[in-house]
Amino acid sequence: MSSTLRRVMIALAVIGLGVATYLTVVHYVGFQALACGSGNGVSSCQTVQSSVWSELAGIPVADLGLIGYVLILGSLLAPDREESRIATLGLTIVGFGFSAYLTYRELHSIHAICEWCLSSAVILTVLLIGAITRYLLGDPRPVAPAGAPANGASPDRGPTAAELAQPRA
Amino acid sequence: MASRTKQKEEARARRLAEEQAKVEQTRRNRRLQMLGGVVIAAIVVVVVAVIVSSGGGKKPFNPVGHSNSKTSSRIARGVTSLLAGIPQHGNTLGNPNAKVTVTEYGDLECSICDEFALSSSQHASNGSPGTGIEDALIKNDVRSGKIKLVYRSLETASGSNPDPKAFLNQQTAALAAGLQGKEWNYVELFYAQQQPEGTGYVTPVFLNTLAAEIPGLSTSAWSSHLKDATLQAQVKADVQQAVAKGYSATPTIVVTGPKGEANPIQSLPSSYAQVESEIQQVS
Repeated sequence: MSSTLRRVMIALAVIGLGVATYLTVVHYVGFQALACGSGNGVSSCQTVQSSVWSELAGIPVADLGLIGYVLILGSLLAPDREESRIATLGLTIVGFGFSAYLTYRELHSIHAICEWCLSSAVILTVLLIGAITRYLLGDPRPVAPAGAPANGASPDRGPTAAELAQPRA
Repeated sequence: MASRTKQKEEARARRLAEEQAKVEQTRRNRRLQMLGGVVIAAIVVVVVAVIVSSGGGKKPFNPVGHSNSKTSSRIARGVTSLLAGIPQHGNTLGNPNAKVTVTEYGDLECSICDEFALSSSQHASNGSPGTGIEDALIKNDVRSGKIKLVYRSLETASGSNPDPKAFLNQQTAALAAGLQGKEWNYVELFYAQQQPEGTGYVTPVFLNTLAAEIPGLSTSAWSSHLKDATLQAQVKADVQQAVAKGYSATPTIVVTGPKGEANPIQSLPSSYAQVESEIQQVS
């Protein structure tokens, strides 16, 4: 279950990375290159991408999205341990929170929807649900490294009571 | 003896169980601390990003009013330069005998009207870039005497202002400037310094600040007309006229000329060319 979930999340992160890469490229090439629906003859993506909300402290949010997806993908490809699972969770919370805020701005401030941004918001929502589920499931534990106790003790958990008791027995 | 051994085994089992429970508890606590730390850190990152981003949406104008700030002076100079030398009579900008009239039904708090009014180098209060359509109309068509622009009131975005009198107050303030032939200066300055919808920024200080930025406007004469019943009636009449014609959105652009009236544009025009085409149609 957990490994399937992880594979699905990796696939979603790759798609998200593709969307963010596309938006980043378009940002530097020119918004006219955006494949997007239109309203009033003006591309709604163009409206969103050229709005003041499209940058955060001078950095295009498309670039931030690209960095975010790279980090999420990295945390998913890292060995399946508690630390990597929690890193994915933290990153997806940030991604989900900021994309939810940007979607709010699209609806209530810009009055235009960028389908590409919306698709990224949907991907991040699913990734967050996946990250929560994966963290709660917790297992499987990684294969014990060579020399580790044969009872499955792993680096991400403390010793069992039996292990603690052993030296004193 | 056997009982003593059994007791020892039981005590050992109890000790092991307690230690196991302790280890589990320690592990649970560590997990919770880690989770709590990461979730809090993630939320802090999002909140900081939202605060930074929200700051970017605001225009540089200080709504509490510093008319001597560099930014508002620059904006005021831009508006003065745009309108310099063009005749104004009440709500009309341009030659009163121009054959074509372009009427804008607007709400000074409407962010889409802001997009219509601002040049492409400026950002509207909703963060979108200005279209430059009104600028182009003023520079190309009003200045040449081909058309005259008329500004009329229609309440839309002001409905979200916490102050229910904001709409009447702001539109009357613009008309009061019109008594001195400066309504379009007031309208353009308002749009150039408009703040996000529903934020309740339209205070007497804000309105006074705009008036103080208009060269040649007597602010004392202007302020004496802010509660003028005739001007307030004109605002209400504009709204009633618009509603009677079925207009519900701002900006609504109505082009009339010798050949009649073109289809009203009840939204943000797609381009200057769209309005220009309607001007040609009725000329």
